[in-house]
Formats: sequence, C-alpha cells, structure tokens
Amino acid sequence: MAASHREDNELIDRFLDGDEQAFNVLVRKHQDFVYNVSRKITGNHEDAIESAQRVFVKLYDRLSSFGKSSAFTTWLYRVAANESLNLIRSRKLKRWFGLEDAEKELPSSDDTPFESMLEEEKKEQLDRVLKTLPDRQRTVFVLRMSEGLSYQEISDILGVSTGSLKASFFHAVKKITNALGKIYEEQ
Amino acid sequence: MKNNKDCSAIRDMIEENVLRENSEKHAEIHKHIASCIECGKYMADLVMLQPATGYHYALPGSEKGKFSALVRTRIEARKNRNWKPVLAVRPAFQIALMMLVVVSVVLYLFRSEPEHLFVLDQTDLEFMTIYSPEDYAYIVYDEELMSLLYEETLFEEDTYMPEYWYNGYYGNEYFYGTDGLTDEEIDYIIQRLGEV
Repeated sequence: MAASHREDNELIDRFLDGDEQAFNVLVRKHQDFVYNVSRKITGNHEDAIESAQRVFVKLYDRLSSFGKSSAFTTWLYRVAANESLNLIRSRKLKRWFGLEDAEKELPSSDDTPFESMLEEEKKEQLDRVLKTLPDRQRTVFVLRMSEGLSYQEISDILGVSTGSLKASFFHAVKKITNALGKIYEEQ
Repeated sequence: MKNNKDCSAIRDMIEENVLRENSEKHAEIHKHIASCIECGKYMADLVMLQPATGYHYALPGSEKGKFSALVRTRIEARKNRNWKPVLAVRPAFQIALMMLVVVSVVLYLFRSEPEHLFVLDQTDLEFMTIYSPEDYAYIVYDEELMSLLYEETLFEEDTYMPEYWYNGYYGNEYFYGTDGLTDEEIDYIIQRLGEV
C-alpha cells in the first residue's frame, strides 16, 4: 500500500512538472476505484461514468492543491463522493425545473460474464433499495459498509460530525434490512 | 430502561467486528446482546448485509480502454471552450438560472421561520452543532423533559422511528418543530436548557 502511495505521489509530481502523460497513468490506475464509489452512490452506470469523468477533470485542475498530508485515495474518496452527490442534486434540480425527464431506470451496460444471475439480482435489489435512501444515508452506508472506511475517515470526506454519521448509518441499516426483508418475503 | 451509552459503545464494537473483521471484545459484545434484543438485532442485520454489500463495481470492459481518452477529451474541451463559467452561462441553463433566482426570491419573501427546532442528542450528552444556533435551540437527552413533551403530545409524529425514542441508539436525528407549543411550554423548555 505504501508503495502505491509513493507511486501516486511520484505521478502527481511528474504531472505538476508538466508531464501530461503522468496524469493519464493516474487516471487509468484509479478509474475503477472512482467508478466503483460513484456507481454505488449514484446508483446507475451512466451517472457513475459521468461523475467519474468529472472527478478526473476536476483533479486535473486541482492536483496542485493536493497537500499529500493524506493518502491520494482518501482525497479521491472525498472528490468522488462529493461529485456524485453534486450530480444527484443537479439531477433533482433539473427534474424540478422540468429540464430532465422524471427519474427513470437507466439500463446498466455492465459486463458481468463471470457473475451468476443470482448475485446480479441481489446487487440490483440492494441498488434499488439504496436509491430510496436520503443522499447522506446512502453515502455513509456505501463508504462505511462497502468501502470499510472508519467514521473519522468519512467525517473527513463529507465534513459531517461522526455522531451524525453514526445516526445516518444506523438508520440506513435499519431501512435497508427492512426493505430487503420485504422483498425476500414477497419472493 | 437500558443504558443508551452502553448500547452506543457496544454497537461501535459490533461494527468494528463485522465490518472491519476486528474480532476484539467478542465476549463483551456477546454478554451485552444476551440481554439486549435491539443490539442483537443490529448485529444480525449487519451480518446479513455484509455479503450483499461486499461487491465492487469495475468499469465495463468495453469502456475501460476509452475512459482516460474521454477524460482527456473533456479536459481539452474545457481548455478550448469559448464561454466562461458564471460570466457566460450556457444557453441551456440560462432559463433554469433565471427561474432559480425568481424562486429563491419568492421562497425568501414567504419563508416561515420556526421559532425553535430541537435536536435531541442521546449519543453522548453533548450539544450538537449541526445547524445554525441562531435558528435552533438544542436539548440534550433528558428523560424527564422528554417524558413531559411526549405525554403532552407536543412532538409530531413525522419522525424517524419513534420506537427508538427511549431505547434508541444515535438519537441526534430526531428533529421536532415547536409548532403548537404554547409560550409557557417554550419558556419551560428554554429554562430546562439552561439547567442541563
């Protein structure tokens, strides 16, 4: 892990020294990571792609402000989570103004040749339930449960107190287990 | 009544155990959940959810190769764009921006200001600093006060899961407006705020 951090910092230094190719390497190295966080928070492939691209465009402009006091991936978490939340908010705003169609299920074009149909169905069920949560609860749940971050790390990323995060996580767990329980009962 | 501080600490341990596979303090957890159904259920929920959430998404193979090229295209497009943000808004957003300004002005003119909004914090008996103090007052967890308010049905029922009211875990998301409170009742609450 330490080697990976060192490699990130070297790439950043090279980019800041004018080596554009270093930025491309950085993108390729972290694109899956950013996509994964964005995919889980936005809940669909198209928005995740859009959000992930915005993250890297933003990085291009702001890499010079990365202080290296924390790991680059922690910084990426922050940008990816906030960018995904911004995208969700802008979607809601556009719908409110009638500039965008009402929420629709966007088809996923994920390639999953090696995953069973059952696993895929579980993922989709969880995604559907996650979409019904308030933005903060969903984000905290994803970062805590799926990414395994500590409350302090999430607090640093979202700028929210750990007490409030714990409340959000607790409510998210309750809502998800209730919703999934109902789905399983119906089946 | 259960000790909420115990539950809070135990649930932190449960999360560490289940989510981060840190198996310390096993005995302490099991001793607690033997007599606490809520915490036991919370642990069961986490255990049930963990496999379902452990997956990771990766960019589909068809998009892996072109992703960095698309990012690069957007960066170049930004460098070359002939409009400036804020000063020259893209036409598609001009109407939305105007409407936003109009709606904001209307909402501002007709805003209703709650006299107080109480944030109940059962977590650590500390004042929360979630919202601007000029608009909100805060209460720490206070059983007697909550009983009084509950009996007087001063709290509206919109809220997050009332069953967690007394035995709840992290209570700092219970928000209640004071619509319907008399001046005497508000005075009483503010007086109690000074005492706790």
